[in-house]
Amino acid sequence: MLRMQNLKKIYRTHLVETHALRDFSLEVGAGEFVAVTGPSGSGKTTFLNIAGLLEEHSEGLYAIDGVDVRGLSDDARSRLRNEKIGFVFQSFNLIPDLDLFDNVDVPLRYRGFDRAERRRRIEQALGRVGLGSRMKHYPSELSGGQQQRVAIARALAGEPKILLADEPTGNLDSVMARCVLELLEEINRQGTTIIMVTHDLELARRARRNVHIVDGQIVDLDASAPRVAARREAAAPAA
Amino acid sequence: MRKSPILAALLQHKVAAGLIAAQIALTLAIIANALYIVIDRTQLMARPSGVVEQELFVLGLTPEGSAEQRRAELLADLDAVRRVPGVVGAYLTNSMPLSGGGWSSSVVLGPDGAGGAESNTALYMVDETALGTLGLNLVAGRNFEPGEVQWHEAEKPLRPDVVIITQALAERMFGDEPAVGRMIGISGVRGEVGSRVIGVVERLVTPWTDWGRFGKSTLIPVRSDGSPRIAVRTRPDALQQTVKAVEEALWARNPQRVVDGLRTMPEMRAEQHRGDRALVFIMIAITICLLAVTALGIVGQASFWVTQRTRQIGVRRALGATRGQILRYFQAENAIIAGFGIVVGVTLAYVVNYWMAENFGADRLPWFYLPIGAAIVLLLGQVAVYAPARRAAAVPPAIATRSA
Ligand SMILES: Nc1ncnc2c1ncn2[C@@H]1O[C@H](COP(=O)(O)OP(=O)(O)OP(=O)(O)O)[C@@H](O)[C@H]1O
Ligand SMILES: [Mg+2]
Repeated sequence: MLRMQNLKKIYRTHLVETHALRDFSLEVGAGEFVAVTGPSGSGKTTFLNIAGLLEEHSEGLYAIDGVDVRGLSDDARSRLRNEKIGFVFQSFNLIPDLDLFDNVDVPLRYRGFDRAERRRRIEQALGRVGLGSRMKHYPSELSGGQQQRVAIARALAGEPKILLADEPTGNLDSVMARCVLELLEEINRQGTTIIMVTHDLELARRARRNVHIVDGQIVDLDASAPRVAARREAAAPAA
Repeated sequence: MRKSPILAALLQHKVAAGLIAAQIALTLAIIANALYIVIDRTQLMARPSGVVEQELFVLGLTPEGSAEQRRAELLADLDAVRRVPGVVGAYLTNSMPLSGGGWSSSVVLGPDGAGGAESNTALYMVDETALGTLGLNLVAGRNFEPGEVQWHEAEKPLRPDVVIITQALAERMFGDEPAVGRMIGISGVRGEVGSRVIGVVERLVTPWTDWGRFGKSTLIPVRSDGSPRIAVRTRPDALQQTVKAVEEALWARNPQRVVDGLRTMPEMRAEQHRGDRALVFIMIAITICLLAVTALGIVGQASFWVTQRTRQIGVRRALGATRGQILRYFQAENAIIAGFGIVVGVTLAYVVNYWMAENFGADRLPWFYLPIGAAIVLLLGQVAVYAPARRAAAVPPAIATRSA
């Protein structure tokens, strides 16, 4: 699903070069649920941005769903983002001027679906996160947890192969955080690959696989290869 | 049915969007009217007079003494002017086209004129040389003969036996029927119809530039000994030298005389249209200012919105919007605002025009100025929003995760 090999990301400003990712190799298979942890500034968001095609990497190889993204045009990257990737952000990032229906509609319009198809998907996605009855509400009328569920519905409506979440529970209290995580787990069970950055080790432990990043590198070498199904089954009861 | 999300989002910012729309509406209403005035006046200024303007000038004579003495002196002056080298022709008259001053009269039809119209006309006193001197084009009938030219008796009303009229007047009076041979009455009393139309000239405008009577002139074979003018045609490109030579020739005949009212036709045309030119200038200035102010307003508002929505733009990019789609979002948003402005502006343009028509006698605005005005403000909006929209399109998608 996602393959990174000897990836480097260097931020150059006029004063310093920051090696945000160095010699970064990771493979994530279809259907995995990966939790990414690490200290602040270690490169978690950088990794997620590159994985989600929000930023370009400096060196190395990155392929998503078999497509090598090196040298793709900005438009091609946008299309790939739109079709294969769903985003969930720490601060929800709903559009305040639009009601829930129109918020979930945003990526679907960019996709070019017709009206009926969009409506079907919006109703289904909002139904799936338990907000089917509030389509005409505005984000400001919802709690944080509800907003994040709308954001998840928005990410899911396009039926992405992979869902990327950067601290999706970071702005939520622990009850709401658990709720959101359960939703993500449920989505993962239905087949969507999920990579989630989190500071919450308890939440991370619930994921089937943990990747720990320190100083732009994965520290647990064991974690850089996908686990075979048998080991995943074995690990699950322990979590 | 659901509203377009761009419209839905705009409706969350009714005041800001409404202000821009109102500005666009006002601009449209004013520039549509201003544009009409500019085009109308420009056409008015460009109308041909029918005479060889570049070769003509006029000056005033002030003969003294008894009627006989004055007439003799005028004829001697005329003779002297005609002999000046560079002079092609000269005749005594009361007025010149575009001069701003002259005689006007009503014209009535003869008893055979049932169904015809009455009109107003400018009266030009001329002799048999005037057609050649002015460079008029006789399209029907004949010129005056020397014997037909009479001195005007000061106390008596004008009753020329024969007249030459312009085509515009002929059409007004007689429609499609031939004018030559028909009887008309000038000086306006029905029943006193004693003038026969002997010729029609293609074009000769009045001394005044208003639209109504502009082309409707009558040439009468009359000389006045009151204080007539002398119209002079020079050789091409010799206007200025000949003006001096004629003045000197007149002074040579009588060093004490006053030569006044000397004006060339180009001067008269410029003077006559001074107001029109000023109005055109003002209207163009107003139009440019309004367009500039409105464009700045749009740029300012759009820039503010781009800044305000930077994060939202990043999120849209993250969700798969291409740069082009972001660019088009802001263009579409501006088009929607302009659309509202246009609907209001078209209505307003009619109100403004109606008000000006009622209060200042302005002409009614031809309808096609409204789509032209609408197209201008729509284009203006798109041009103004382009730079902010480009900036929006350049917002990197990583903004979505980077700015917490
Ligand atoms: N646009 C940028 N320009 C320069 N340096 C950057 C840029 N973005 C990130 N960095 C640097 O790259 C390093 C990794 O940053 P990143 O945001 O990936 O960390 P993070 O693990 O997500 O941290 P946190 O847990 O605080 O969110 C940091 O040292 C950061 O300062
Ligand atoms: Mg981060």
